[in-house]
Amino acid sequence: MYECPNCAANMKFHIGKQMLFCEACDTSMDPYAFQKKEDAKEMKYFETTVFICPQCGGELIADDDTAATFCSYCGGSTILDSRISREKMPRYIIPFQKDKEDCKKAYRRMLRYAYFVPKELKDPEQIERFRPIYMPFWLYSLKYSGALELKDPNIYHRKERLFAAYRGFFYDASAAFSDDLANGIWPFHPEQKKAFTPSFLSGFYADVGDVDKDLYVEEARELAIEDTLERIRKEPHYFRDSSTGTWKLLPEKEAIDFKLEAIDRVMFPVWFLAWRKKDRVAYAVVNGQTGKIAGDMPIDVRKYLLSSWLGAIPVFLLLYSYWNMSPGALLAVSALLSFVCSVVSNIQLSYLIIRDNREKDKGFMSKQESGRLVEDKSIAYRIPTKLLGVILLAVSIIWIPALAFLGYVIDKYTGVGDLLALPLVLLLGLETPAILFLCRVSDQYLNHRKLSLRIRMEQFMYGRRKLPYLIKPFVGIVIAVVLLCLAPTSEVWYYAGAFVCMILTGVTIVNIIRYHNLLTTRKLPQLKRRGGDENA
Amino acid sequence: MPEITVVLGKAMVAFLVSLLLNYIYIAWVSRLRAPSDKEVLENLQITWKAGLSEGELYHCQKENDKDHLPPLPQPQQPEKHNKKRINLHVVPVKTVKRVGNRL
Repeated sequence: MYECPNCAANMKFHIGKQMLFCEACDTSMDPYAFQKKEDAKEMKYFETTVFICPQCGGELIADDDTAATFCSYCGGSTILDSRISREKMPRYIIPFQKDKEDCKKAYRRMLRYAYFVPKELKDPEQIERFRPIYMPFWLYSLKYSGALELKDPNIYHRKERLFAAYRGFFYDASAAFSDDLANGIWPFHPEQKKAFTPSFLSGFYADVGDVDKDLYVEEARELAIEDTLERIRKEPHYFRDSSTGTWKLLPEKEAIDFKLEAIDRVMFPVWFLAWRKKDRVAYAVVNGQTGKIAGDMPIDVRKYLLSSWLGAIPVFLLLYSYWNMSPGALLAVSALLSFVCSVVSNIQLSYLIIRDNREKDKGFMSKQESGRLVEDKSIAYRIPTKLLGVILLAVSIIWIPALAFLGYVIDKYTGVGDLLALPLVLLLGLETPAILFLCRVSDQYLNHRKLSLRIRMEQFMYGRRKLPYLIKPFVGIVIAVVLLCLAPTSEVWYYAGAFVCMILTGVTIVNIIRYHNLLTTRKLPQLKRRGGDENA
Repeated sequence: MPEITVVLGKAMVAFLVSLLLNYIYIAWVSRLRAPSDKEVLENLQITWKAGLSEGELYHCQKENDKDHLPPLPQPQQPEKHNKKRINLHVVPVKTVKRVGNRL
């Protein structure tokens, strides 16, 4: 607690003034000049740590990563010194520069076009619950200084000297802070950092971080090496144009051995807003330095259906005026819609499941012993992401005319089905499982990892989570295929098949919206004290 | 089939199209985007200096091709500027008038 020297009230860091400020007597002080007498005393009880509030004597219960919090009884701002002294003391801090009003404006701006979110998210009382938290990050600086041998494997080589320094890589150091939220409010500007002193934390929450400091070093190093190679490629002195006599000189990638110049613990300012529904919570976060906002956006199903009805009116008028619909065409179109639905759903479900499992959240995964991915760098059959994308695209492009041609041939020699509908339906019927399979395969290889059998089984189970949602449009497509191949004489069959197909697709979309709602909110208890519980 | 079935069919197609487009819009609006490598690099403080003029070019030690090696290419020479000529084109862009008493 920072006691005002004039009136003994609790001084807090004032964002506008960038000073410690006493609201009771308007005293301002330089954060670096203040020497505090005492703060909350630590007492270990069982698995939690209890601190005693220096102001009222009340008990503060904090988890292992909390560095600054507020007393539930008197509201006093308290810094847990034992958490930021010793090895977890940050070296730098970027003080809050955006206040709550800025956050509220940014939040309203974000929701301006999000007509589908529940009305509670736009409630002024809800918006008032933004909480300022200093989040921990690792700041890396890398340096290479020394000789560099540039080689053309056929003819020439050249020795040079290179000095390269990359400063300012930063990565989220809290396993609880989801990487996708941290990425959403990127970037911070570390060049505006200040030397840390605990006075900056007064009036805010703060975490100290729990992610290993070396976790992201390789990622930063890879990026620095790639950039160095790119710069050498652009250098005309090293890399002469082929039209004027080819000599291409590049260093071996392994030769550029960037060394760590520094790893610093820093605190970046983040505003949090939590909206809790049952055992899930949705967050909005605002960059306390730049004001950039990102957030989870659940969907109000009623609003979604209503807006879809409204949107359907002009589409219906167009179809009614210009489409001379035959029963076979209706069935084919309904199958086409089912196909589009299955592709869109598959992409979205993959994204949501990966996000829910936090598979790409390195900090979180490093803390989850049970979910740790096993990396094997000796893997010989890595498929580069870009190459995989090109293969998928090529397969898709060749697949479509090939199937259409096959359908045409079958139709010509057997006389089964409608001339145009059969190839289309064959295409839909066969490509859906093919794409689903390819998506499954791509999920496996996109991360360039060789996975243990246990992880593979887990991934297979994730794939199974998609099945209840994707099976319905697939059944619709199969019904359409069967009907168009049998080509019944009565139109009733076509209409009945089309309606069943469209109903299955509609139900799938609504189910996916519900699933979307589940997965665009997050599991408790991460960060629940920030307002997930209302007493924070 | 009666007209009502055709109308109903078109209405359902319209509704499904609207549902799908609406969902694609929502998925696009609510997606959280990670920064690209290029954006990360643009945000870094980078110092990059290579010894362009100090390096020397050598032939690789290839035993079999020693007799057939092409001549070493000459490094590109920096462009020379005629300072005098440049100076001829320097004209004053601003005339400052002094105000006050000359002592």
